[in-house]
Amino acid sequence: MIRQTVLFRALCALLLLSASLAMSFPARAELHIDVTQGQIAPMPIAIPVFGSQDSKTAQNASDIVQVLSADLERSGLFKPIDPNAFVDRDAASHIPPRYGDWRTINAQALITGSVATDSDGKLEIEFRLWDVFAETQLTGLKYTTTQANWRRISHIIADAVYKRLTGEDGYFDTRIVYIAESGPLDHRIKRLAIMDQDGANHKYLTDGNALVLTPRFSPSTQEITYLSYARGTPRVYLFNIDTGQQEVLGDFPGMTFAPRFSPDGNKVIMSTTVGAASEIYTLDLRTRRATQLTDTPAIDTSPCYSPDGSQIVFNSDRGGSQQVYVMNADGSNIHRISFGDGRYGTPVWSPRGDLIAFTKIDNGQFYIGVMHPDGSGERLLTNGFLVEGPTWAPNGRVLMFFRQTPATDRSGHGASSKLYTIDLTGYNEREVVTPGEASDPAWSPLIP
Amino acid sequence: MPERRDFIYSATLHLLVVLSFLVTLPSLFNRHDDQETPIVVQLVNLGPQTLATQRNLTPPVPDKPVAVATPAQPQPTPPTPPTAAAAPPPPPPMPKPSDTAQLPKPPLAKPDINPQPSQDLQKQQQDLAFNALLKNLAAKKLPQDTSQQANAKPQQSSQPVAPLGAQLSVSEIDLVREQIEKCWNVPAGARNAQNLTPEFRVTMNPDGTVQNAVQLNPERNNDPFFLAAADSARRALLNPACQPLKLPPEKYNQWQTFTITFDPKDIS
Repeated sequence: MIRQTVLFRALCALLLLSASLAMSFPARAELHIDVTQGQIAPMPIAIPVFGSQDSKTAQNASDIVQVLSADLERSGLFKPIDPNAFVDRDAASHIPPRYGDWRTINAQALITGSVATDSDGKLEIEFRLWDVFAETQLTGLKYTTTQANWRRISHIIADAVYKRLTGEDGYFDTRIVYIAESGPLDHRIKRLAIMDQDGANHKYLTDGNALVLTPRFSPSTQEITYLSYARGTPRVYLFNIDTGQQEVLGDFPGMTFAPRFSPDGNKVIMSTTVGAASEIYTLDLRTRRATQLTDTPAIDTSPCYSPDGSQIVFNSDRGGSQQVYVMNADGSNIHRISFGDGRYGTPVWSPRGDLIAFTKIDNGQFYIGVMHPDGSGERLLTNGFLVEGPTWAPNGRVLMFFRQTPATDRSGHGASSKLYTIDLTGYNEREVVTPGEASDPAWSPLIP
Repeated sequence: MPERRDFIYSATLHLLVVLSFLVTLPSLFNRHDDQETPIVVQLVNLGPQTLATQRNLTPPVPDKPVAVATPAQPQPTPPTPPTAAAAPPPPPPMPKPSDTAQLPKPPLAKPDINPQPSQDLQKQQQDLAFNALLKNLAAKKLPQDTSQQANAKPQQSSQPVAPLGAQLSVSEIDLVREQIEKCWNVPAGARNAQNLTPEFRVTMNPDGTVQNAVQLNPERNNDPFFLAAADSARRALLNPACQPLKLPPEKYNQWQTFTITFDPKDIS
């Protein structure tokens, strides 16, 4: 009996012990934190002057850094740090960089580089992009080019930096073709002009004898299609940038307008008047054969291909008011996608395919906006007395357009027309400086 | 009769033993249940006092022998752009096309100008990009920390953990979250930003500075958007302006390591 009691107690004790043992290891899960909010602020980046061989390359080095810095700053995503704040005054000769010196001025990224000339007199330009906090090199490239090309290399470097830090292709090594305007409003001279994306290398392509409108780049960036009144009636023309040659596109009875290249560059899509209506046609550039895509008594115009070439967005008043429609590339399956207040025009499909930019007129105000190809998610980015002609940067993140301000008196004083860019986020609207008045910009693809 | 009693005893005891196994065994081996005990928030207020007395905490981690230089690793990044650029370079603006033709060469940055890393370099090349990354990061932060404490003290475990209040409270976690959010420059406007969710395991020093941050999903970094998002998240964690993190020192063992996910879905 006693033995049994002892045994029983012992067992009870064992039980208790094992129970308390199990509980003495409290469950402890590793701490986890979810960060779902952040800042939308430009990243501080340090771009010390590149190293150089001699006084000549020193000038190149300083110019390159200036262009590179301006490119990145203009994007709104980067904030180049004032060189006066630099602790390391000889950054070019420190590889790897003295990270501590850059951390103290809160530089998150750093670009160092050097410029030299090789035996042929060509420039050798190299750069490295560093992550200051992680203390790693993010990318590093070297280019060899002629002296004259230093500016393009600066843009190419800016593109490489942009790409590495955002994941997105850059858009700095691109050009803009636009309509340069001058003279009084009733005798306006409009010329085709071309320049680098940052306004450099500006050049007029036509002499201003004939009115020109709506220029658009070919995917190869070597040709421009546009509308000209050269022979009295408005016609769609093709302009070769290298040769300066111009030719009329197609043999349509009515006027032709609103041209754009297909994504493969083999076709131009445009509108042509048929009586009081206008229809959408494509013209094959090799066979010169025209194909009609729409056939209604309405005004169908401003056609633009989707980047994969499978669909076309255009505007039409077939429903009573001017709205945006999408159809297949063969003209089938036409459906309306804009349903907001007001009228919609000049739809342009984003090069990355996810959005369509448009102009909207509502209550006497003009807006530039974007929506998804199914018409959802309409977002208005900017507005004004007259904002028109959106065109996408090749990476689909930035839009350029022109903004007109009204004249303050009857003689037309005070009126102006200028080019602007705005980020897809709706922030960072900037003027694109041109020598004179400007309208109808078209952004080239990245220069091949 | 006694046999019967014995039998009953035996049966009961066996039953008890079996029961005790059933009850205790699962939890014996399963310590990963997540048990959030946010209830004890008030007790946390004791923290500051504890902190005052316990101030002797020393963050350091023994300085690793590695030279650290992790210098220019030119090879690891033979990015694509150059190849693209190397392609046919048609004429830019005005410059003669023929000149432009030789334009951008594919090369990467010049080879190592500094000799020291040769050994490291070799190693790095062998490693996957991912491993190289881990190594770099691990080697990194050290020099900074060591400088702070030439007079390193043995950095023993902070102190016995009080059973109550030992868990981080929700408000304490929120504080850190906010701190990191202020330093995170989000990839605004990126396509499909909602899928860009880099995750890190962060190892902390007792003084609240980040010792290192290792990405847990580096396999997704071959997407340039994801890579850029991961880099921006890492910068948020490593940004000295955002440290030390405001974590209660007396609960160091709770936050010595933690995992963190950056998820921009609510932003753009």
